[in-house]
Amino acid sequence: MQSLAAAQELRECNLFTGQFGLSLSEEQIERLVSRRFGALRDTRRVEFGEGILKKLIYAFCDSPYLFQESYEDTILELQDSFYYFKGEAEERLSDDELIGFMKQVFDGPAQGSLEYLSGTSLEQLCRDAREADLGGPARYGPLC
Amino acid sequence: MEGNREQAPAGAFPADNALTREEVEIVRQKLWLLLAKRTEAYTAMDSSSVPVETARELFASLCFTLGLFLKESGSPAGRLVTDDLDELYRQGVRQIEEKLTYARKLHEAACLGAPAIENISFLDTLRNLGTFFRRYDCRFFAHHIPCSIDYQLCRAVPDEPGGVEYVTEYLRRLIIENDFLRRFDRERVERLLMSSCNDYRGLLINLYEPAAANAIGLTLAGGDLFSLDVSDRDRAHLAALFASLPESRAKEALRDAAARLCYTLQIRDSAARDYLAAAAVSLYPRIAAALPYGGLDGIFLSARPSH
Repeated sequence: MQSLAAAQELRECNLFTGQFGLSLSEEQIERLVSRRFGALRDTRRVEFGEGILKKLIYAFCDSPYLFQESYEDTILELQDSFYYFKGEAEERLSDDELIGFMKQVFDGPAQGSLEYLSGTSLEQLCRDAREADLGGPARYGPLC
Repeated sequence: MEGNREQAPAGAFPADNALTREEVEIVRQKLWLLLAKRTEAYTAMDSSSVPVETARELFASLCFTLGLFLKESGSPAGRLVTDDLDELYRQGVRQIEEKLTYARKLHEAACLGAPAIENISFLDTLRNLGTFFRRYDCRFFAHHIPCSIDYQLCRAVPDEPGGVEYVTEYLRRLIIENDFLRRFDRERVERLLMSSCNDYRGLLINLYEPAAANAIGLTLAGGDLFSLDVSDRDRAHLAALFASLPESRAKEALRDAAARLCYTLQIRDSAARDYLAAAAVSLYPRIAAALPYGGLDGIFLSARPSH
């Protein structure tokens, strides 16, 4: 059921991303949805509801470094990085904060390089998040 | 045709309320949806995903809450199949909040009724139990016991269920033990504890057990139970008594002594009477093990003389 809902969402994304010359075929949608569950398994995370793909696509679709030829692969890798670094940051970053940072770096100093994004900036971001005094072990934890 | 019967998820719900396989599947799906809502609330919708460990804890918490609701309301597990799980969960949270209010009163009573006997783990535990009420999160971690409880009771509380249930039962038993100890002269209790353990102030020992054991022994031997001092003659009497009795009769004698002790001490609360009876019977394995080796002086103690 989650797969069907996720696939439908990606189809709906095509209506918006079309203006940027980006769209996903049915096969690509299937692969992205399937990879989502794989990425969650690999990073030992549980996700309810719509998942992060839609947010990633809407955030990155206007990037000058995102092209139709590499659209699927880029989104796949962004998804993998997203789940991985959510854990690395020890849940200190909200989805929007992490995606916002990823986009900012991807369009900025990374100039579209996913290696730069995940190997440099995201690592540093997560280190900073872990070391920052945020008043507790995670942004959401048991209330005292 | 009757479906195959399966137990509900282990530890979550009353084990004697079996559901059919189909019912278990229905409950699983409902629990999944409820878990999704609880996770959304937990992350304040800031995160679409959580680590598996967090999801497990949130799931354990909602199972604890639902299990408590079923137990307190005397409801069968079948209600999980037929009723709105959100509503059952909300009622469970309300029951937890009521239990918390009750537990706070128990804690206050435990503090006020604490015997004036110095023991670090006893005092630290009383203090730490106060932090439980500040830290306990019944919405997301209802099964947790977010405080350190080092003081060991004579009759330990089972680990499951945890949360406010564990703390409530722990405090009930602590109050029973406190009340018993206060019926004796403090100095006599301290002399007895000194015999039991030189550093009774600093070590993790239970204060009730030596006093209960000696009081039971003196009741059986016909000695002065308020002295809490078992003499060599009393011990010889006890050794002869237990040596002559088979196990069942020996346990009966211990239970009977506990009942007589409660009468003498005017302990009327049935939970306190049962507690003492259980503590008395639990002496038997040690008595049986010690008898062949000549003496019961490790069980029924001679109190140290006063300085």
